[in-house]
Amino acid sequence: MMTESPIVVEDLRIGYFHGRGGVADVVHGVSFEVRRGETTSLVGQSGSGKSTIAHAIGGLLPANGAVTGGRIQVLGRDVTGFTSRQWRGLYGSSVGFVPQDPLSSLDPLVRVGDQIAQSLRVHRTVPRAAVRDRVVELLDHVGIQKPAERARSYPHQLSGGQLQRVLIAIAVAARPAILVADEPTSALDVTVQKTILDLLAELQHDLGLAVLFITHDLALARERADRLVVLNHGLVKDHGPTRQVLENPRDPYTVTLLSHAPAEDPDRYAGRVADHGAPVVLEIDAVSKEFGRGSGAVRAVDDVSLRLTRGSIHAVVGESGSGKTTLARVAAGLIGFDAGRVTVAGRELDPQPDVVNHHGGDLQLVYQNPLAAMDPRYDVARIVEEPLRLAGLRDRAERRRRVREILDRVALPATVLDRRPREVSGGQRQRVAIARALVLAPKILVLDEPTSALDVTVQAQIIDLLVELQREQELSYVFISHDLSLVRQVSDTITVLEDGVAVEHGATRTVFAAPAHPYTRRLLDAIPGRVAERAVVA
Amino acid sequence: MSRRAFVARRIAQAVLVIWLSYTLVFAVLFVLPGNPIRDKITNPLNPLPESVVRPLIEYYDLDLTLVEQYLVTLGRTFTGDLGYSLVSGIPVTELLAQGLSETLALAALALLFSVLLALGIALTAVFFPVAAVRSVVRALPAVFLSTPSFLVGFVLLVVFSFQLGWVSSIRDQGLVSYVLPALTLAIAVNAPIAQVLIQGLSRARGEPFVTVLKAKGVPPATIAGRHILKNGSIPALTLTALTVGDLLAGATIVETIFNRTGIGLITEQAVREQDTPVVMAIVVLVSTLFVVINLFTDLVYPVIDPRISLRAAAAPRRVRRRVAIG
Repeated sequence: MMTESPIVVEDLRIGYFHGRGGVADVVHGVSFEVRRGETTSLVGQSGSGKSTIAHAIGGLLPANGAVTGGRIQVLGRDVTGFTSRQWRGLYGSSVGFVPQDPLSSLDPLVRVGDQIAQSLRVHRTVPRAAVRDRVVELLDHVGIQKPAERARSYPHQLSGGQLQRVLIAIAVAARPAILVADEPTSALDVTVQKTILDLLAELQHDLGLAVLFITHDLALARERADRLVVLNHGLVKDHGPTRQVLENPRDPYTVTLLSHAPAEDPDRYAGRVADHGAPVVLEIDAVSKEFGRGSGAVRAVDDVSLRLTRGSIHAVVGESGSGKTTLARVAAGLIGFDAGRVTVAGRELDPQPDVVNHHGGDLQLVYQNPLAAMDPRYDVARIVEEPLRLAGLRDRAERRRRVREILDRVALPATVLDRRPREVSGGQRQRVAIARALVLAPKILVLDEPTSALDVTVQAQIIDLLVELQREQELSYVFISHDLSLVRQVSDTITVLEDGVAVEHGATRTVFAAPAHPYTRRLLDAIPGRVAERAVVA
Repeated sequence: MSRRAFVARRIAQAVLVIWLSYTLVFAVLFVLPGNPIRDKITNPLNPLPESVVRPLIEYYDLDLTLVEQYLVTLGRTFTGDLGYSLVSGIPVTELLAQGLSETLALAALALLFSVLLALGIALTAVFFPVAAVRSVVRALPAVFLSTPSFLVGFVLLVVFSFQLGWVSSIRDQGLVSYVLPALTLAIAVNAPIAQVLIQGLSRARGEPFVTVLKAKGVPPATIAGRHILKNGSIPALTLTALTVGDLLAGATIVETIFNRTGIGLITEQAVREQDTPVVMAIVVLVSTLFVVINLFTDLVYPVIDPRISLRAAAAPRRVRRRVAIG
């Protein structure tokens, strides 16, 4: 049948087995199709079932997962009940799979060229003698410089973006008609994300691929997909051509999702006004920090200055490795610095800080991954109480009172007090981290990617909370993020870091409206949605 | 760091380790009150004839101060002269040479059995299609670990020698005679390797690259055998090198049970009879063996795992192992 779409999913139900015989459905009757040469995007938050559906279509469900109802049709064949042996004929040659995390998706012990060659050999795509040349050709095709040389590299010798290119080469090596991309850029920097998605679009065009694109980022889906399927808790909430779904959302859930995406609502916190005449609470003056010694030394932060005024939010943006986190750790007095001056709440920091932080009452740090920043064996009460104990507050009852008070302020119920970090949700966990940071009533918070591990809806709740706390208590934030849409939404002033150098700084609005430095322009251009906007203008 | 400089540095380290262990044992044995060698030689219970006693006392220069004695014996050890047994008067080198080939054969076979057992257990525990079998096999290492060698050896001896009569418990039948003792030794030694291997394989199997391999269409057997096994066995490799020490220690018990005259039996006798020069020589021998095998592992590591350069291998072990696992 010529007219049939490469992927047809009808009333699909997928469940996971739990314990003895119990099956819990996570996908409840989902229908959609992916047409030849088109991209269909499954958009949803974690737990929406989007990855499960993608894995089912790729024949990659884990052993405890199974299709419990409905139908999946791949290239005209009903694959619903396929065993892994039957799937073997389709893997790679019919369906190519691009994974989420390029850094751990290649065998670290095998040269990348050999991993691509494996794909060609399994499917006998090209004659045995031609495999080596074809590998180099594929690497060249996915935009790897010096492909012949790179084919001999091991995965750890390549960057995340290069690895994702290699994985795309693997996915298309056996000439599939379908590409399933499971959040292919969520682990990559925004500028790299753009080049990878451009590559996918180019390959799709050249090879006429049907692409199933899984993402949690609505702005990304808007920019890249022809059709959208909005999922929530395993149910389709909205479905149709991208423009139609976004302009006339049928389901309230789509509306909510849209309103929570920072890119879709840049002026969400516009009512928040920073007082420009307020005193400076944190001043970083020409600070440099080097790691390592001699020829192997890396200058992580190079002559960076910034000023944070009371009651304002200053954003620090840049790609991974640009020195954002090092700067945060210097400001927090966690690591020393080699040159410059840091003044926190009127007190100059020692370039070689004491191992014990005596000034927790001035400035606190909130980490990116709250789970990694908490002792897994402590319960919430003990986690939040610890700074008070360390600060020398001996009265146990008073400590408990302060903990309850602060949990109340971050809108956590008292029922979480005796839970451990693993037993609360991701959003609650970040609230616990914020409560722990605030329990000593600091004047400044350094927030290091506080929401990058969270879903967009939970992110919106945490940002709401942070903005509200700031207004109530005249807090000042240093807000570190790679999400420029979010930064545009919340920050008053901004510093752009590239390889440890502050290439641009100023009022956020000004920098976004008229970026002066080419690096800033590149970062801004890479924000999903910007391309579409400009394309319309042009 | 160049490969040559790395090897040179590690050999220097190895020599230092051997010297330190020698010195430590010398201190423990000789700094005790009294003079162990003189006491032993002149002990009325010692069956040595007068003709042997006199040269022995001369050889050990017992009138010298402790430091001088230390330097003299150290110098002799360095030139390969390990002294004489105080019990039999035979040169220690001769005594050890007899036992060494015996024990090395036993240890090598036991190591082979250990690795095979650990591989079999771990592969079954992780990949066997029936869940019940997987969980039973998964419990095996704990059972092995908590069964004492003397019991295992005794049971094997009773079943295979006395009841089935497959292997003689008295006659030396060449390689066949090594099987039961090596198996006894392997059952004790393989357990930790199997446990670490099970963990390693389970972790490797959950890695995202396995999904990608599957999506490529690579057959499951290739994924398991070539990719998961290779990645998952790296931590177990370190452990295997370290268990060589356990093999030598275990040989003491096993050789006693099976009545084989290897290093284990010699050690046991030497310690019981306070044959100081023999004990010293065994310490040097075992620490040398241990150090050499670990040096070998360090050199082999970068060959297996490209992420580990020799530079990283030269770093403290703790850090390196984290690299190996992560």
